[in-house]
Amino acid sequence: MMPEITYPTSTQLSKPKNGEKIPNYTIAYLNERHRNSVHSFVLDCMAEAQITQAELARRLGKAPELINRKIGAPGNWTLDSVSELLFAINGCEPMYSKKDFLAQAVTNLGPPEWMESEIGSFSNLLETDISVSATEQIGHISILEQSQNVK
Amino acid sequence: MSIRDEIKARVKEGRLHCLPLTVKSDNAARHIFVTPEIYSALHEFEGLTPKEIRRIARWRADLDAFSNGSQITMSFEPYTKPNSTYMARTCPVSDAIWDIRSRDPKPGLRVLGGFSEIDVFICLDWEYRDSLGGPNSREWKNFILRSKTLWKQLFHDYKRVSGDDARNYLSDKYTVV
Repeated sequence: MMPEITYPTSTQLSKPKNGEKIPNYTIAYLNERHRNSVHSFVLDCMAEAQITQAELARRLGKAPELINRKIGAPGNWTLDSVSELLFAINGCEPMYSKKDFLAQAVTNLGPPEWMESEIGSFSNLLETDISVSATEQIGHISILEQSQNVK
Repeated sequence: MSIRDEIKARVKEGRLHCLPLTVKSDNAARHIFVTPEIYSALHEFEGLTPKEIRRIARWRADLDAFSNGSQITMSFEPYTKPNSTYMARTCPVSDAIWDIRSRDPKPGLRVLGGFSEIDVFICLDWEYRDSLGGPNSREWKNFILRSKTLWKQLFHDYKRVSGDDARNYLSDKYTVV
């Protein structure tokens, strides 16, 4: 018997609930978001360190085209890849903390400021905000940089 | 009227939607507007398989990466760009139609659009990569032509941002590849 398909009624992300399966949409979105975040973070580190892909390849002992392919886009990088990339870039390692991103205050929703006078027309695009207790600690892991202290 | 006024008018008419960030605590460093067709594709899941729903979710995350100011790669070369490039110009480059490429997982998705100004991208049309054939296929040419037609219908004679200087398109957090 085919399992019943539950269609998402909203693309809004919401906190996990006891006894309920997290929607597939949410899991998939978060997975891709995380890949993008890690990729962006590594590129930020490269820009800050002013290191070229060629130099990165040399430091890692890998073919330049491999590094080009790796760095070129987000992907399902292994933890080993992330740690060696970060170390090769600037001798750093990732540092982990969690971020209750669903509880954080809304910054801006997406429209540019020159659309602000039209903001009323966005009401049909905005999904209902979920009130989240500030004391809730569930979130997703973000990767921060931690410099190695050379002794 | 400026193109901003045109965009505002199209949003009021429901012919364009500003795609809000999924994570509302993110900062909108760049902005995406989408046609109703793309908006529907991102929000309407009836009849889709679980795999297709997951794919749309990942696509949305890729579009949000543009909006929330994540580092992205861009290429001005339609045919010699690295496979992993986030967004690339299509051919002919003089048309200034760009392709945002959501490549992973398969099936890949392509969104064509143009920049109305720096950091503002108008997504016009979308396709699954599988339906487009090779780079010079009739399907690709039709896809690009549809996008140009949609731009003209939305904005008449207002031009897309063009040229070979990345700084005209994006203010920050990009790498030209």
